[in-house]
Formats: sequence, structure tokens, C-alpha cells
Amino acid sequence: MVTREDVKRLAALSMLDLTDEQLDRLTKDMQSIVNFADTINAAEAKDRDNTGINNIFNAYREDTVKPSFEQSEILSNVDGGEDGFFAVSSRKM
Amino acid sequence: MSIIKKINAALKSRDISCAELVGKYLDAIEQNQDLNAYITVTAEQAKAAADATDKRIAAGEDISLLDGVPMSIKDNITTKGIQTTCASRILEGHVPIYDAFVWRRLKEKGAVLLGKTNLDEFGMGSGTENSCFGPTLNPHNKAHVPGGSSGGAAAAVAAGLCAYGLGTDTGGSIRQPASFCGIVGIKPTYGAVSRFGAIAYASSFDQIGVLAPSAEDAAVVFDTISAYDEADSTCVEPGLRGGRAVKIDAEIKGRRIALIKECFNGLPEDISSAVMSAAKDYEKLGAEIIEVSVPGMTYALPVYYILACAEASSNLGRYDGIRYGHRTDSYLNINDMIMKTRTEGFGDEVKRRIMLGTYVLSSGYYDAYYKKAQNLRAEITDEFKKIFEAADVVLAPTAPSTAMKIGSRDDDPVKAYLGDILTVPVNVCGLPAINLPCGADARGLPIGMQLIGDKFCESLLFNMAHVFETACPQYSKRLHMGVEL
Repeated sequence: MVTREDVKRLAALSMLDLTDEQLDRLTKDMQSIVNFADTINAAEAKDRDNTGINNIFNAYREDTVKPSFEQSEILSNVDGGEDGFFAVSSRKM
Repeated sequence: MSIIKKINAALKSRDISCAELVGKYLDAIEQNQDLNAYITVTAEQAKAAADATDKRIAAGEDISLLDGVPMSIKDNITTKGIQTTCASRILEGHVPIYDAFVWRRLKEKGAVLLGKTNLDEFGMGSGTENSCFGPTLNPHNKAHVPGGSSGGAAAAVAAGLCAYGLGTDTGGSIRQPASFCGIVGIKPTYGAVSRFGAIAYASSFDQIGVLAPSAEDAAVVFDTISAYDEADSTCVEPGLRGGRAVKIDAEIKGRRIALIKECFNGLPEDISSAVMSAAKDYEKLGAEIIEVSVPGMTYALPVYYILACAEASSNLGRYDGIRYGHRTDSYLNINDMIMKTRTEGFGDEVKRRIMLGTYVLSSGYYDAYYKKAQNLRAEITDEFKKIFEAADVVLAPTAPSTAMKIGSRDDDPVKAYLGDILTVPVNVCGLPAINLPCGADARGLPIGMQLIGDKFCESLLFNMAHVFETACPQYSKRLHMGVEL
């Protein structure tokens, strides 16, 4: 059974800040979803190696130098950044 | 007939210039704005691309089939210099600095991008109601949803607001809206199309595919976008794909079609009878119908939600407000900044899935949920593999309902998830599947069916779909809203 405390902890792990009302709502939702997920308990499944997909386990390529992005392009989604860096103020009110 | 071929013929014979054609599409988009199919319309880029096509034609160049054909791209596929949002507040105003592989391929062929289509935020939803830009309406009946998450693309194709659209399918997001809008939608084999530039939801399920008016159209586009790309390490090299190339108009006599018993449990009468009557049509065309059972089907839906949410919680960890996208206005420290940014930026459904993913991956629960679901995923994949020893394709309904009324979703998220029960097994197993129309309900809303193939057997699916469309054209109901050719 998922409790309100569990949901609070999950929200913190997920870096989400929820209001009391949202916590109540999500507790109810999570209980319903986890009950549904629990239906797999009834199934038998032996342990398998699930590391590959389409029989691909690793995809290697030559380590060759290729042209990359300009610094200004990389910073274009944060209004150019500051002195060529991504910048976050330590505090902003 | 294929709309792409029609456009190609009209351009080559100079019945219409590409500039005129694109103008017609842009007008149609403008006149049908209420459908809310597009998030961004790229009129200027489209006009420039059309002029380039017209120049090639004037110069006497032999243009490719896709040259000058107006199309759309779902807004979770990156387009350099054009806003790409995933219909999320957290990416509002985000302008990618690179093109997705699929868009690069199509651009090289002269494709004309009309705009970016609406979706459920990050692909999480089945009605295109979870979009921060508002819901898309179903062109068959505007009180109903177009399905989702590629609902913008499906509505645009059905209403004639583009010739074809690129979408993504993680748990049914191409096939279900194609079904609700009465068009064709192909979800390719996992690894057939590069995911480079497809903004990740659940990486081991996500696949880019095509929504189009006919199987022939979808096949032409698929052939262009399914090239190998080393930038996606799960993209399979053509030499290793296996599968046999089948001509689209090849005879289907002797093909064996499997019906999965479990897919018809509890299905509404109108949907099951439409699919069964399509099976009879296939029999008349010379195919053989067999019945099979996939007991593991029952677990495909919880397996999907456990694994997809686990992957989503990890993939969406990148949205921290530092390098792109939304950043909150005021904060006490960097952790507070990240937390407020994510809380303001993500919608409710995205938050729910991140939380569920975090839950199933947290210590103490990992073995019971994540690992168990991985093992079951392998079991279900084996069960499907066995079907293809006895049959060429599987025929199944695409969705357990036709398009719902907008705003009619149940408050209980699990009830909404149950709508994906018929589409997710394909993603769980990494198989290709195509939706095609096979009827309508009492209100005139389209009913869709899907053909599921073995890995890398897309050409057989296109063939089986094309032969059906040609023999039974009554199901492909054309709407008269957008551009007529």
C-alpha cells in the first residue's frame, strides 16, 4: 500500500515540489497504479539476461574527430549564457 | 491512390507549381485552425522549400517521389531552428540546434515541412488532451479526441492539412490515433528507424513512424527514413535485419493470418465484428485465417507501464532548467531552482509517470517490479515469436473503443491506461505493426485494425494493407476539408 509519506519521499527523489492537495491526489493515483502493477505478481517468469536488444549488446565505432557545435549554438537556448558558460545564480528572488 | 504519387505526377506534369500547392495547404491549415492540429506552422520555410522544388522542376531535374510533398512532424522530433516543445511547458520556446535523422533524410529528398504537430506532453497520453497547447479535435467529429499521442499528426493527415506526418509510437501513439482518425499509421520494428532527434520518453520502446492516407504513402516514407544511422546505437544495420522484401502489390494468396484470441475479450461488438469481417475479406483474397493464443498478453499492459515509466523517470531527469527550456523566476538555491522549474514545467500525467518510474526503480521494489517486468517482457516476446512460426502476420483490433468525447476521461489513471491494452504488446516485443481503417461505429467514427508482423517485415505489412485497401476501398473514408487533388 502506497502511503502519503511514500509519495512525499518519491516527490523529493523526483525533484518535484507538491502541494498538500496534489499529494492527496497523487497518493490516490499511485495506489491505483501500483495495485495495477501488482497484477504481474501472479505471473511466472524465470530470470533472464535482458541486457541486449535486437541482439545488439554494444555498438562500437572508430573514435574519429568530427566537427562539433559552436559554443554560441550550444548556449543559444539560454540567451547566450555568461562568458561562454551556462550560468545559474546561487539565489534569485 | 497514393497522395504522394498524385502530388508527384501533378508537379512533374506542371499541372500545379509546388508554390501553389504549398499555398493551398497553408490556407487549409489556416481555415481549420480550430482543429488545433499544429503547434507551430512553418510557412516561411515551407514557401522557401517549395520554391527550391519549383526550380528543380524548371531546370528539368528528375525529382524524387517526396520532392515538394508537404508534410508535418510531431513536435517531439527535433528540427534545427524550429521550436520543438513536446507540448510541454518545460520546453516552451526551445529551439533545437540539430535536425533529427529522419528529418535530415526527408529534407535531402526535398520534403516540404508545413509545421510541427500537437501531441500529449512527451507522448504520454492517448487523446492529445495532455498538451500545454490545448487539445486537438477529431476532424470526423470535433466533439471527440483524435487519439494520441500523435493526435495532431493524425488529425492533420485525416483533414488533408498535410500529405503525411511523422509521429512516434511508444505504446500505440501512431496506431491508435490513426485508428481514431481513419488513416494508416505504421509503427516500425524497434531498430528500423533512427531515434536520433526523437526526444526520449521510454528509449527501449520509442520508435518513429509514419501517418498517411494510404499504405503506399506510408511505405514510400518508411523506405526513406529507415536507413542505418550510427548515431542511434540500437539502429540495426540493413545487412543484419533479415526479413524479406515483398512488393507492395504482390498477391497475398496463401498468406497465413493469425487472430489472437485474447485480443477479442470484452471488445465492443461493433469493433470485433468490423475486424472479423475484415478477416473474411482477407479470406476472400486468398489468405488463410488461424486462431492462436498468447496468454502473456494479459501482462503486457502492466509490464509496459512499469518499464516505460522507469525509463521516463530517468530520461526526464535531464530537465533541470540549466541548459535549455523553462527556468523558474525566483529560487533560494540551485536545488530549489531545479525543483521549482520541474514542478512548474511538467503536467500532471508526466509527473505521475515520473513518480511511478521512481517508485519501481527504488531500492526494495526494483526486483519485484522492474526486474520481474523485464523477465516477463522476454516471455511475451517469445510467445509472439512462436506465432510467426505458424503465421505470416497477426490481425487484431487497434483499440478497444472508437474516439472518446473530449473531456470524458476517467479520473482513475488506470482506466485510461486500459485503452492501450491492444497496442502496447507490439512495443513490448519491438515488433512492427500497421493500422488501417476497417469500418465505422454507429456515430460514423472510424474503427481501425492492426496487422502485426515479425521483426523487420514492414514490406509484408505494407503489402497486406495495400491489397486490403485496394479490394475494400469503402473503409478509407476521405474527408473533404483540406486540400483536394
